[in-house]
Amino acid sequence: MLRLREGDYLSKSETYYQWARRKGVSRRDFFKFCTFMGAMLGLEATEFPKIVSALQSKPRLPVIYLNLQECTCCGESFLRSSHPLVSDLIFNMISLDYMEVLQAAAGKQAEDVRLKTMKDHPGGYILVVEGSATLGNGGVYCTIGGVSSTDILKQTAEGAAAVIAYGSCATNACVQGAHPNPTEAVPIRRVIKNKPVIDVPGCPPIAEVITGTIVHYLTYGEIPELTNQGRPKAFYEHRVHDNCVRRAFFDAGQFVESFDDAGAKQGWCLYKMGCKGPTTYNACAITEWNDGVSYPIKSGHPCIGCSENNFFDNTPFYTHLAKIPNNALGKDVDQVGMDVIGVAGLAVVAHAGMTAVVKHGEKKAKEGKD
Amino acid sequence: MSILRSQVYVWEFPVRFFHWVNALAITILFLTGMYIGHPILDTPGEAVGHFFMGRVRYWHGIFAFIFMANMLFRLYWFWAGNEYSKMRLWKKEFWRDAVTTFKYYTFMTGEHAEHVGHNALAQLMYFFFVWVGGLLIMVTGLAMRGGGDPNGIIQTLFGWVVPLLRNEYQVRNLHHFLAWGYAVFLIGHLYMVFRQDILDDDGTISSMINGYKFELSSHNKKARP
Repeated sequence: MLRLREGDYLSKSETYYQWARRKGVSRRDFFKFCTFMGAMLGLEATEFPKIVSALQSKPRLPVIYLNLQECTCCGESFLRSSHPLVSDLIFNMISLDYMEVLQAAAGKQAEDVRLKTMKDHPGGYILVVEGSATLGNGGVYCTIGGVSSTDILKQTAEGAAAVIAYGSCATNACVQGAHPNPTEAVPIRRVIKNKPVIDVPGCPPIAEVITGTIVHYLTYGEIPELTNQGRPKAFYEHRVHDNCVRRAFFDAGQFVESFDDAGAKQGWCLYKMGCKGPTTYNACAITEWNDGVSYPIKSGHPCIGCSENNFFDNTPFYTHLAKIPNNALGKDVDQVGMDVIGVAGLAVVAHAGMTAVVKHGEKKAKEGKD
Repeated sequence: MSILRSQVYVWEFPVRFFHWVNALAITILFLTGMYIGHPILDTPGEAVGHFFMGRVRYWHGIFAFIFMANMLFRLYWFWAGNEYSKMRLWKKEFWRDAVTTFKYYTFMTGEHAEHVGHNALAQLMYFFFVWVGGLLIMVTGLAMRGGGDPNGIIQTLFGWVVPLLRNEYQVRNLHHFLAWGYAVFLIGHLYMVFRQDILDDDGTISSMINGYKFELSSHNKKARP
């Protein structure tokens, strides 16, 4: 592996490695970070040197982080990123030029920083968007500095290399997009059509995906492979159910019937408590939360499927089958099915009765003729 | 009234075979599917000693693939089979017959045109409940199976279904809904078959075992071959 010392660099802007050394990160820790990123992206060990050389030779990618129509739970999750090295590096290593929640500047100064980054690095910065765009009444439901958030999004995305739609608001409009969606909240993908958009759903989502995506982009010059739903495959290709710690109880047929029964104490499967794990694609069961301590199902609560489109319309959360559609009927599919069966049964009985009456009449008439 | 009856070989063996495999597969799929949706039995003891839900899902999968293979075979038999095995929705006579049969079933006319094979309404029921419903239930089922193996061939072929319906939850809802379609179909199907057999005494029920139906020879043989 290439061994570089300070001053070996030719590039004008500082590289990640230079920056890290200046901040007192040891070379060993730098390698640890590269290895960790490679493992998280699901890369082979032979790919790790590519990450190292990319981070040693390439200048830091500027990142603009926009907060649109959202609750900042993504940002909070981001701050509590599981690996301490990562949380440190996320904020420091990526050159986070603009993030309303964390920046010291406000008002004009803050906006100037954003505009400067956009001007200095056309086509060379990553745009992270938290929150949905709003289309209702010209986007008046979310404005920043007097400009509608949707316009800010369009303007900032113009010169971005790629857009990361971070969190369920940005990928599927989340709570505010639930029926009847009064503000016409829409996913970022619906507004930004000419840039690669990477969906990172979850309410909140996993923070490591951001660094992972940036490292991948630096190393290979392209965004990571996405699933059929436009999400990074390394994190979102599996169902929560398929990696669940309670899966053995599902397969055995052992289910919690109420939150305080013996099964709940035994840690049985929460399927009948309305767990949406079987239809939710996320990495919760693998990465877990809060430094790998736990995740909802492990802690005894059913998954609510927060990373799935329109999860807020698939209510109630504590029944296994949601009511359809958007609770308009107040019944779930199986209840509707039973009703339809009932109607069909009654129709058959009525038709059979009618047949008997008609045929009897015909017979009578025939006998009369004979 | 003198009745001279002639036997007609209507349902060839492959058609009957398809019918009964289909009936078996649908019954097992419906029962196992409902169990997967509502696992009512309790399994006591340690999880390590049991695999009940897993086994139910396993058999649901096995019969799903039997069902699909059977349907594909029948699709071929539309082409290879005899006149009675075909469905010709694009023919004018088909729709004329649909109107006549509708009138007969709603008691607007007393007698119906003789059919040795299926009448048009029956064929429409098969088209919607078995074929359209079957296609959707297969596609939604495969989409859910595919998720378990993200780089597998099923996911590659049917990965588009989940984004189309916005989330896998709705895929499963649709799958459940279509399953009830089969239950509704069964009620209508059994009623119509028994009714036909009783009213016209043409051997409709036994024909699905031996293939033969009776034609009333006093009737003119209609345009239907």
